[in-house]
Amino acid sequence: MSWLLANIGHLSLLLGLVIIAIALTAPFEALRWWTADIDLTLPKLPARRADPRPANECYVVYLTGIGGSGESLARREQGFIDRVKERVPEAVMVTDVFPFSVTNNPLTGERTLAWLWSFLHRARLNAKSLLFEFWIGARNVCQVAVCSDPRYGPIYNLGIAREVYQALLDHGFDPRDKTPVYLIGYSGGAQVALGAACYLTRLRSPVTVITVGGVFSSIPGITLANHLHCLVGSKDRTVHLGPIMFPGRWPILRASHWNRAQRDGKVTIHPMGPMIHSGKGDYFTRSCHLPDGTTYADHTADVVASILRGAPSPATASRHLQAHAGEENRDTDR
Amino acid sequence: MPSDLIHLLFESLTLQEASFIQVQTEQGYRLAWMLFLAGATSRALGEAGILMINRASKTQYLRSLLGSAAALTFSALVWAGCVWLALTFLFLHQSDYLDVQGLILVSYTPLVFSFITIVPHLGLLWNGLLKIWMLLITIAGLNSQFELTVLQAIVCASLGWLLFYLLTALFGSRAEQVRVRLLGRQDWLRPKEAAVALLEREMKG
Repeated sequence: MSWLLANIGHLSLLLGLVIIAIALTAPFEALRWWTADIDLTLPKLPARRADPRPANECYVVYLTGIGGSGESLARREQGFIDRVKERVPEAVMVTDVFPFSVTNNPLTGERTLAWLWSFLHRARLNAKSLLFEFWIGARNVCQVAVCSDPRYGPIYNLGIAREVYQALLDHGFDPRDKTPVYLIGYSGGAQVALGAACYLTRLRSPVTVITVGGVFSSIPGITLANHLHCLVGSKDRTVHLGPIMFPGRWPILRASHWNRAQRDGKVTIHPMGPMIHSGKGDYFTRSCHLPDGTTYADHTADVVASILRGAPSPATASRHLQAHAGEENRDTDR
Repeated sequence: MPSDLIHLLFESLTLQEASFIQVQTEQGYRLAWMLFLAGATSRALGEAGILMINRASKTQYLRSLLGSAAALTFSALVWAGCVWLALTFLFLHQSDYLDVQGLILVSYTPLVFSFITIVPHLGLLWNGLLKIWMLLITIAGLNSQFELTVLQAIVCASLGWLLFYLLTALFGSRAEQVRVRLLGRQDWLRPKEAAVALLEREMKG
């Protein structure tokens, strides 16, 4: 312990250098992909399906937050997907796009530092320590920054849009049917969802973006999307980083995509009650309850389901605005 | 020699008067040019991402490195000229152009950190901060080297900037054409437009 205290300065310097190195190298995954001799031709259209499509069919693509490693969704997030599916059975849920890699390559996939990310991923699951969680988060935050950067964003977003499109096709999507597409982005995944929307809105299908505690910049995807729904918990402080860090979100820049979309009525903010950003009490928590007894997880699923069905959101009901957290401690989610 | 270089770097970054005095000597002037070249190289490294977006070959990258350094040198010399004009005609200061040039060279030292502009998102903010830092060094230099008050130094730098801005507005597009030719970028890709056109064709076709 005394050694640690004596070397705290050196350790801080080392930590700072590693973070700078991660930030400096962040754009290169997207840039390497772009400069390689890539085939940008989109996959062939699928053959027409003989059976009629179910009424109200829609495609929902879920893009995870910065804690994701791309291996699989956290249980709480998978639970959210299942709940939405229960409420809207005709929705086709797509969860196999890792939003922090232009080639949909998970951190533990084919990459030079896969061994390191695998170790950190396993360690954080076993030890449940922030120490391991931090590095995966830092790496993914840098990819969110790549996505929001006007220099690298167009390329990054193109790669993600292509992967989302491929995943949609793999799940039976036929662009000729104009089936609605919903992109749900949690936390930093919201930025990537809006980035992908920049290109996916060129589909014939209406593309709607739903952000859950979303941290995002003012990018063209906001005005190009059919609509933007923002689910915001009153105790979620992280969500306020977007309006601070990204100048386009400042009210003074009236011509920004965010401000224009707001004026055009294309943005709906859904107050979610006293939900926090991540951890117990977040949007996917089953052990916390609103005053009417609805769990946070169910309420989030209800709001998303109502958006998918095009119905007025239950989140706008005033009963939830002053809600406070229930204290049952049954949650076994990460 | 390297220690002198680091010394000058530190002094100029911290707006110390010693750096403006040192640059008046022959050795100091040489060191200031070396720092300027280091800044130009660092800036070119910061632009590596943009070059990769444009799928630059190694030859194009080398051309861009040289072209970028040449463009930066030219703009520094013009900027020095603008400040010298403001100093001579507004404040009737009998100064030598080379003295102002030395000061402007010193003011470009923050550019040694411009490789950091490659960092996504924050890099753009960093670029803005570097420009402010450079302007502060110019004002500090005018204040100490030419015995202007801080307010006069701000006015002089602002007038120089206005002149520079007017010149850019008048000849900027022609200069940009030359710069593009130097960088060999005239036939380069516009990734966003290319991607959009491709997707439109594929998705709506």
